[in-house]
Amino acid sequence: MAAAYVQAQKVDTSGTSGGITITLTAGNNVYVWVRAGGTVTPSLSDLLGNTYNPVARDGSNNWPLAPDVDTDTVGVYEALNVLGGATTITISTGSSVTQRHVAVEFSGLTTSTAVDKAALTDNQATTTPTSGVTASRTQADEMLMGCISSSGTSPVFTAGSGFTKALAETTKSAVEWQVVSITGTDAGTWTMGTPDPGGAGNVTICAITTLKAGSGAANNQIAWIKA
Amino acid sequence: MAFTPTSIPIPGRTVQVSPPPTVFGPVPIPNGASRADFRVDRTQFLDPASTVQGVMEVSQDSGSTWKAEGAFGDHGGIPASDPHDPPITDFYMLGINLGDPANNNRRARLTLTVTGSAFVTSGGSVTLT
Repeated sequence: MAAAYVQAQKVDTSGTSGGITITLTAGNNVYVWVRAGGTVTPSLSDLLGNTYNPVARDGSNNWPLAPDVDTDTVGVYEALNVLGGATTITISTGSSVTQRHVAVEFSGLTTSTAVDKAALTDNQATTTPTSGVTASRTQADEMLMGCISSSGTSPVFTAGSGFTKALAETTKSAVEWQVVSITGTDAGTWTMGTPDPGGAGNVTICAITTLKAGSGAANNQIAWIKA
Repeated sequence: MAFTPTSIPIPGRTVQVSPPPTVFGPVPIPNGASRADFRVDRTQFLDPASTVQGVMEVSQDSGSTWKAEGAFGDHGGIPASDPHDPPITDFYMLGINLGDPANNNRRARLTLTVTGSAFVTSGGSVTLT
């Protein structure tokens, strides 16, 4: 089975937690692009009992980069092989901050260690921010998930070439996706109608995470060759 | 004809601890609207020992059934705003998906469940786009 985008839902609010309502299909993977307006350590859970682990966070995990020039917390959290049904994904931050999160459901991904490569870059005062380029993927069939978070007041996000913007975004964050089938390196690119103003405390964070398709994709390819 | 964005006021009231929840709305959604921004003043919700759970709900059948479209939790006090953004003075939920724009029977509401101390809100608005 090839990797595919299923849906996206979001929450754009403030408080010590934000809740995304979503109806999940059993067996899929869910990725939550977390953007909290402060220095916090988010924890995620849902009503179905799925487990969400951070697979990439600024300053740790797969993005061991210099601290951001602002105080936002961003990260990608993953739930593999989810239990299906209607649920609310709750992002808890402890401190009361802005909560701008996007959850994306994908099908056809491997249900163990799906994250392959990742990159993150802080951009300032540009209308064409980028995640930077990943190392080469370990397999051809993957899903690219690009994420953006801007401290601009009205950023207006447009997905980069080859990407499709997920159908849910907040006032300051969004997700894009792309299915790839040849090996290579990748970068998440965006166009912004209004850039962040630059200077102290202003930043547009772009990230990319590549996600491995399940072994079914290879099986499908073999069947096609035989035909 | 394209939908003209509009704002519907929400009257002020006391948010009681009991019986929960306090319901703001329902607000009828005019044809053509696809998104809503819901805001209710929180400047008097200041007791740090108090908590609030907010749920934004949309009905497609004139209020017979409701579906949650987002939620938040908080304690009393004013949340930290993003750098360079204005202070946060409202409970808010932005960009709520209202469903089928041709459905005459849509409604939206915000429910607040509070523990601790009741407080007074000056109300707010639902902005439809």
